[in-house]
Parts: sequence; C-alpha cells; structure tokens
Amino acid sequence: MNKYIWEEVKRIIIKKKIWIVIVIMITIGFGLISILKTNTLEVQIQKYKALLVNQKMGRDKANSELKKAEFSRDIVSTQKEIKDKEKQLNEIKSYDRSKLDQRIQKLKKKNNPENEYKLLQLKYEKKYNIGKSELIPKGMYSAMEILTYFIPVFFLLILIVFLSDIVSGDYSPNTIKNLVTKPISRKKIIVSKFAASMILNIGMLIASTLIFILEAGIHLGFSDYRLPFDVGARYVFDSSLTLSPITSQMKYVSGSRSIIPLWSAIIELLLIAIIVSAAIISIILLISVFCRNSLVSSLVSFILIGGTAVWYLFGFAGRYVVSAKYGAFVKFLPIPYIVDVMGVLSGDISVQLTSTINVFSVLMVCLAWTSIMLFLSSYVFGKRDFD
Amino acid sequence: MIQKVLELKSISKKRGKLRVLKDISFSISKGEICGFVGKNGAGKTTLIKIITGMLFPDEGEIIIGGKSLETEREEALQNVGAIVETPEFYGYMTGRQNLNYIASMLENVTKDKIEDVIKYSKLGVKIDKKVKTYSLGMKQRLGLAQALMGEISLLILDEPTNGLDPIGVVELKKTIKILAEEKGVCVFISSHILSEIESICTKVIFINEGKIVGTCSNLKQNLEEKFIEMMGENDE
Repeated sequence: MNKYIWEEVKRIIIKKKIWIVIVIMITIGFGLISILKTNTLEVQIQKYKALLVNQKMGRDKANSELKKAEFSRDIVSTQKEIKDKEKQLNEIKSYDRSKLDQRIQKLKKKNNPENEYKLLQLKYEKKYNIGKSELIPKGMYSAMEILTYFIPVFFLLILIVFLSDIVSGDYSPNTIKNLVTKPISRKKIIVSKFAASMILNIGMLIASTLIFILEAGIHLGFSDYRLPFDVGARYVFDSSLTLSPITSQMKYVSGSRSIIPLWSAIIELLLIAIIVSAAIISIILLISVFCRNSLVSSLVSFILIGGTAVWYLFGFAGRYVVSAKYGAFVKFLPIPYIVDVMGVLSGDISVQLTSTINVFSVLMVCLAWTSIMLFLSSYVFGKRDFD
Repeated sequence: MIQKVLELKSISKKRGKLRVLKDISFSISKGEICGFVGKNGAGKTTLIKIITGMLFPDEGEIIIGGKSLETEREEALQNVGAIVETPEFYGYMTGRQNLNYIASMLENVTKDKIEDVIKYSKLGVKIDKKVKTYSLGMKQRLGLAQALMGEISLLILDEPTNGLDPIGVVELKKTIKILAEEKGVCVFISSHILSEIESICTKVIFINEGKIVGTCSNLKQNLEEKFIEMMGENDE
C-alpha cells in the first residue's frame, strides 16, 4: 500500500504541475507583498489611530442600529490594538534585562490578577535570557502573521484545486477500472488517496511556511525567533457578563495562558492547520467520491467549503450575539478552525464561538469528521458499480 | 484432476428493471482458452466487469483460483490480468509512469518485470511519451502490457484486437497461445470476430440476452454455423 500511496502522490504532482508552479508563484508573491507592507510598531500605531478616526466617523454617520453596533465593535477592537501596540512599544523601549528580577518581585507583591500576563512575560524573558532586540517583531513574526491570512484565504482554495478531483477525475476518462480491477481493496484505495492528499497537504504547508520565513527573514531579520508568544488561553461561559454586539459572555480563566517562543508557536500553528486540514480533505474526498465529474466535484467543494468559510468570516466571527445562539453548533464544524487557526492557538476561538474550546477539543472534532468522512467515502466507493 | 481457474455460479445482474444477466454458470480450467461470443448488448462486457470486480452481481458467486471474489477479493484478483473495453490510462503521464502506477497495486512486480512487459508492448521510445499522444492501437498494446504485469493465472480480454494492427493481432494470438500452453494461464476472451475466436480458442461460450445459450468444445465444427444456430434457437 505504501508503494501505491507514493505513486498516487507522484500522479497528483504530475497532473497538477502547472497548478503547483502557479501556487508557488502566488505564495512567493503573497509573501513579498505582505512583507513590503509590514511597518514598524510606531507606524502601525499611527495607522490604527487613523483607522479609529474613520471608524468613529462611520459610526456617527451610520443610519441603522446594526451598522452602529458593527462600527462600535470595530472601534473597541482597534482601541485594543492601539493599547496593546503602545504597551509593547513602551515595554521594548524601557526593557532592561538586569531589572527583570526586581520587576518580577514587584509584580508578585502586588498580587493583582490583571498583572498575570505581564508576570508571565517577565518570567519568560528571564528564563530565556531575552535581549532587547529579540523583543522587536521582525521576520519570524511577519511570517506568522502572513500564515494566518494565507491559510484561510489561499490554503483552502489550494486544497480544493488540488484534491477535489482525486476520485472524480478517475471517472472520466474511465481510469478507475485500472484501480478497482486490481488486487487492492476499495477501502485501501480510498485510504491511500487520503494519505497521498495528506502528504501533499503537509508538504504544501511546510513549503509555504518556509517561503514566508525566508522572505520575511531576509527582508526584516530573524532575531525575533524567541519573541514571547502567548497561547492556550482558556475561557468559560459566565452568564453574569453582559452579552452585546461588542461584548462576549466568555470569561478568561486566570492562569490558563502560557508563553512560548515564537518558533515553537509557528510549529504549533502548523500542527493545528494539519489536523484541521485532515478533516477538510476528508470532506473533499467524500464529495469527490459522490460526484462522477471532476468539474462538479470542484464546484460542490468550492461552494460547500468556501461558502462556509466566507459565511464564518463575514457573518459569524466577531458577532457575539449570533455566536451565543449558534456557537454551540458551529464549534462542531472544522471550517472555523482553519479560518481562525491563530484563534485556536491563542485560545481566543472560545470567545468567537461562545464555547470553551481548546486544542484537544479541536483535535477531537477534526478526528471525528475525518473518521466519519473516510468511513462514508469507503462505504460509498466500496458499494458502487463502475461502468 | 482438472484445476478450475474461473468458476461462475448462478450470476444474475439487473440494470434498472432489466435483467441483463440471468443465472450464468460456467467454469474454465487451467490452460484453457475460452471464447465468449454474443451479439451486441448480450451481456458480455457486463459479465466481464463482474468477473474483474468493477460491478457487483445481484446474485451468485464468482470463484477465481479457489477464492471467492466477494469475500476474498484481494486474493481472488491477485492473479488476474484484464483488459476491459478500451484501455484507459492517465493521459498526462507517460506509458512507463502508468505502468509503474499500476504495478504499485500489485504484489511482487519487479522493475525487470516492468521492463519485460514494456519490451513486449513494442512501444519503443513511445513508452516515455505521454499517453495522450497514443493511438488506440498503442493504448491497446499498453493495456496488454499492464494485464501481463502480475503473476497471472487468469487473463481476461474484452475485444482485445480493437485498434490493433495486423502484426499486433498476430503477436497477441501468439502470446495467448504461449501463456496457455506453456504457463497454464487460463484465457477468457470476448470478441465479435468469430474467425479470431475460432483460430485460438479451445472452447467457446455463447451468450444471448443475458443467458448462456450453449458451449462448444469441438472447434472443428464451423463456428459461424454454430453461432447462428445458437442465436436462432434462443430468438425462437
């Protein structure tokens, strides 16, 4: 079966070689454009401030309550960004490695839960003996940011383009007869095609990450590879909190967050993307098994998966009232996790879906989808007559 | 004791409401070359698709080399080589890449074996050209090459001379005879061309409207006459 999986990988690469060139060019181009747009923290703050003025004007001119609410939510988010960036900038400017112990002791004495993140960061900086220059976001951070846009926007499209005809492409011309007449079970054919898709998927994810890191690193430097990065925040539902278009009822669980080096966060982000994309590939595979025409399977995959991603991005994410109603159902779909892969890593996806979600629950959801879709694909393919 | 390579027991198949195969039973033994003759739409290709595992029978059982196709599919198909209708390959891959791909699904197919069937196919340098540039005859040669790649004990050929040039037809007949006589391979050939069947087969099975209407082991008798007799009997 291993030999067949590798031959299947080779076949897809040969079939899609023009697409592979296009994808590489898009990836390089996307990376370059994004990197050239990268600004220093000072410029970012100025840009956010200009955006805030526009958002406030938009809110004042809005003629419906819904529009006003949307502007208010955006304003809160921009204000938070400005506050965070200013804090980060001040932190870098006033950073002194020799005073870390003193600052940690001071914060410990205050025993204020609000200082939890600050304390974690200082402890991290002390543990890894972080220098001032390592705190300035550079190439690695840019690569991470590019990945968070690239995965939901392009990566989903790439998966559909590459894999939507993985089975349906064998119906016309009728090359499927070369598979089903051979001494290999139909279940093994489906599992092999899934495995080949996963190999390509992992290859594409790693290759695009390396391209972004190289591009951003060469342009901005690699010195931020140990930049502190917070992950794993846990949120629980708290009905005492006010639910409104700009506030969620999810409450942060004190002490749940941890800080890891940026390089480690990039690896974790990739692993999450791989797990979630396994579920999405299994859905594409089922669609491909059902449809007897590759164009139809591509269209169905595009409408179902792309449509769900667009709906989540523009009709669900950040709308706390909607997510309070439907989040309990939406959390069982794999699409939100690929669209907001950074949210899964940081833990903020819980707020977006008004449900307590961690990497383990995402793993379970994706595993369940993958198993069910593979079972259905094997069942349908196994029972089908091939004329 | 005669060793049965292929055994069909009461095979029936419906297409919609129409029963295209009705209670088909026969067996073929080691070294036999069995012709399968019938009019267009008689059910020849449907039966071949069932034997090769492309279609499932509604009723009945198929035993290949003592293994049930239903319950021991992988083992049953292990020693089967087949060409079903016009051979189809991935047009964007070369002939060699297509053979390597198919070989990956078979057990114990060495590189030497692949080179042997490439030599047999007589595709020459064309083997490294994309299949989309091949003529029907070249696809047929490649189809034969892939059918002969494994350690086969049963060779199923559905209209194998379609598109082959006269030299190709002669070579194919020679190969079939060698496989049957020297290696004991059981060959099952479906064809419209009675002279072709007559010249190589040791046994002929006639099918009409989904039913076996007769068999003929004595090929000294004129096959054309026998065919008309069989079809006529059934039409009545």
